[in-house]
Amino acid sequence: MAETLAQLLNGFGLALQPINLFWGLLGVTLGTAIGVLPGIGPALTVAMLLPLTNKLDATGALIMFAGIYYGAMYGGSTTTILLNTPGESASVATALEGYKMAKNGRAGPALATAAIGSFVAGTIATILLTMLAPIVVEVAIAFGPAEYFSLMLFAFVTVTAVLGSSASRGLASLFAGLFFGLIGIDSQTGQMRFAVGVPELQDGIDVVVMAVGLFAVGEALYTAAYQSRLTEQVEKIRGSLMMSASDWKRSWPAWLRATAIGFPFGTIPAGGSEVPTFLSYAVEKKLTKHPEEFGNGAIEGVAGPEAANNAASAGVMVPLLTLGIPTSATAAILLAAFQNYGIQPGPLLFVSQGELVWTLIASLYVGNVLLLVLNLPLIGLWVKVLEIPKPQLFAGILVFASLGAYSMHQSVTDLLILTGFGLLGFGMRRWGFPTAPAIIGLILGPMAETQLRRALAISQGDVSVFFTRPISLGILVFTALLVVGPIAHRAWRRR
Amino acid sequence: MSSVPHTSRRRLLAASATTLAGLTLGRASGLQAQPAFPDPGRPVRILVPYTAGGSSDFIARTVGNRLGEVLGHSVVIENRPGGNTVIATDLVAKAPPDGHSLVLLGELTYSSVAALSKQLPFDPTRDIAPITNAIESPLVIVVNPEVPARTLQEFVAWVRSRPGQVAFGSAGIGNTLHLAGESFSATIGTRMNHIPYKGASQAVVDLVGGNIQVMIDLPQTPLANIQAGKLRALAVTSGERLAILPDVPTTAEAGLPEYRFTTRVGFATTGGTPAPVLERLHAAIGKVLAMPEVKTAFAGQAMFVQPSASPDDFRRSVDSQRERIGKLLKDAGIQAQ
Repeated sequence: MAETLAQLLNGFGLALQPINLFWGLLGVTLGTAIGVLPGIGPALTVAMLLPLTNKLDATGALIMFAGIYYGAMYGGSTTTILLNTPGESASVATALEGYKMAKNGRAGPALATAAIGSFVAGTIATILLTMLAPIVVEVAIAFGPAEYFSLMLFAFVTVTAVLGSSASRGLASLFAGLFFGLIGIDSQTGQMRFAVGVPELQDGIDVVVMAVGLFAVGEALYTAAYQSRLTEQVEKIRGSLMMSASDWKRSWPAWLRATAIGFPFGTIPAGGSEVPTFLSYAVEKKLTKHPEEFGNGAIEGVAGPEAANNAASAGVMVPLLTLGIPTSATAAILLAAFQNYGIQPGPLLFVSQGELVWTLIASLYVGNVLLLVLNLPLIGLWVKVLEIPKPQLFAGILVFASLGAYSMHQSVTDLLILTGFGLLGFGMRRWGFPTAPAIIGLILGPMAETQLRRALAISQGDVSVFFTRPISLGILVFTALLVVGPIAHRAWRRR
Repeated sequence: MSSVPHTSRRRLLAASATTLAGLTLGRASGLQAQPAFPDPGRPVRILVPYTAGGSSDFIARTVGNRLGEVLGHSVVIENRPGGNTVIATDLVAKAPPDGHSLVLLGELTYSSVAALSKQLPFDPTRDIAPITNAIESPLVIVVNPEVPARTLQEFVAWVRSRPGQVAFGSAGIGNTLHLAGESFSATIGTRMNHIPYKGASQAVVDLVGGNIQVMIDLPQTPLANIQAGKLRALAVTSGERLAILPDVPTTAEAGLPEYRFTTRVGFATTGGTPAPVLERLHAAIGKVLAMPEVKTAFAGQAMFVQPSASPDDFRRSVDSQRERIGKLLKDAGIQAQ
């Protein structure tokens, strides 16, 4: 441990050199910019900057790339909160309460809790990465298809908390999402499902296109159609730009809980970052002392998902550094950057390239600080967006949403899909169906299906794999308790 | 030519026929008002049918950056992933046939897409013109260390003793890794249990975790885990050993010379592009591939530069691969969708 600390301090020494700080600052600025702009993801940005590695030393380049990675994660939350247009799937859960807060004139605190929460979660997760990476990875590797399926089942049960007040409408929305999740090529047999001969549909419906369509486009259409009758107003700013004492008190437990959810999810190779954000949302909704605010802009509902998102993206570094296996597009690019320097991440990395790894980890810390320094003062600027008059603002949102949907795959088909989901979102709003369950269905459905069928393919049809593997069994028992527990509790109290 | 005296009638006729044919052809492909290639008003695009960061992207960027210098023209790289390469390929198939739109063409993927899609939006023979192959890469047969086989021959015996039970991972139906596995099954005459994943990385994780037993994968993905002893490499599928895995024998050395499997990736453009443009592109890409730093960059990823002698040469290779893969998939009982 003392040795770890010494190596880490040495890493800080390198990361804090002025030139490296400069690269770090450049990285987070670029990252924030591409996070805010629709369509350019961190993966593409780093890919375009890769040739720089010929001219830059490894430390400087890696610090910059890490800055871009974190910066983009954070920048995405800005547009999500202000414009209801999540730029990547991990920001979708933030939109649920974040945009409501912005509409209530509380955009400032929403952006602040997102920024500080990202910082707290990112820092804690980086510490966990430093100390635990080689141990955590052993657990992560134990997750096979059976475990993933049980985990998805657990997520389904937990996340139904966001179904809303009417169970039947929530379920209708969820099942619609599950249906949309079926569209595309069936990964296990190669069979085409509901793709009606359109090659763009082969890969399924993109979560971001669906979320932006249901949320932003649906909302804009609704506002346009019913503007005269709407009583609610997009308020500019109400109260302070910064978080109040009560905001702090409600945010920090959410940040910590979200870190505890996000980091482990990030470390398991097929965990992804969407599921932990929704899990965090569900947990916060369950535990809050202000349940009436959920659905109308509860700060915990922003603090949690944003922190979970950042903790998960630090967790993704675990399989990358310890197994040499990238589990996200950005991680794949970072791997390419490593390899350009002749560094092969993997089980031997900490031994063979100690100094560089610790410099990278130190630069992740530094990147988090720089991100906060950059973004807190910007909040005042961002909220000015909401001062745009409503017709122009919503027109702008439509343009922004279309631009984002189009530039993701430069595909006109995606624009048509966006419009379709916009109309659906409009109808769902008009008749009081919640939209979030549909997104959850689209995210969880395909993951659960793939893992279930993969597990059964490996076991050659033997269902007992789910019960004979200890981790899978553990998750299933826990899930069953979650379902049966409250019912049993009520029955016992009635006695 | 017709002004040459003492020309026999026959030759004269033949000559004018050639001229005529040349004219007609020229008109059909826009040769007459042919703007110089490359057109200064437009960049040459290289479409990558996968996301940024993968090995295809690496090939495109390594060649693309220098191709601009060789052509003295701007070359841009666009990632158009999706539809199992069909989206990017279709864009090039439907582009104007003037050599300004290139696409990365993996022989194996192109073949399996052609064999497995009932409704391909383009004609794989007519609408795409191969330019040149670029790289060839061997694969490595890698198993989870708990598999009781230490050598390839032991492994073959082990698979034969449990037909249909040994799980092999791939990056998806019809993907190179899937074809490599099916081809291995066909070679040893025993079926294995195919488990498709979304990308090779996810499959390697499950291989390290022991959920599946074997993969026949490009060396780069499992490399770190092979070196750390978390995976065991039994053989490389090429004729020569790999510098990055010097202790791993070739399939021939390991006693299974019938099994050789490499993947080739090259460049193609729109079908109907005039031959001079194809040749210009062929020469320019060939020049890039001959650069020592390009060779070194590829070798670091276990890819070996392997340019085709001519566009026709690459076309023949693509065509024969299509036939071979079509048969392999048919014999394995995998049907077009």
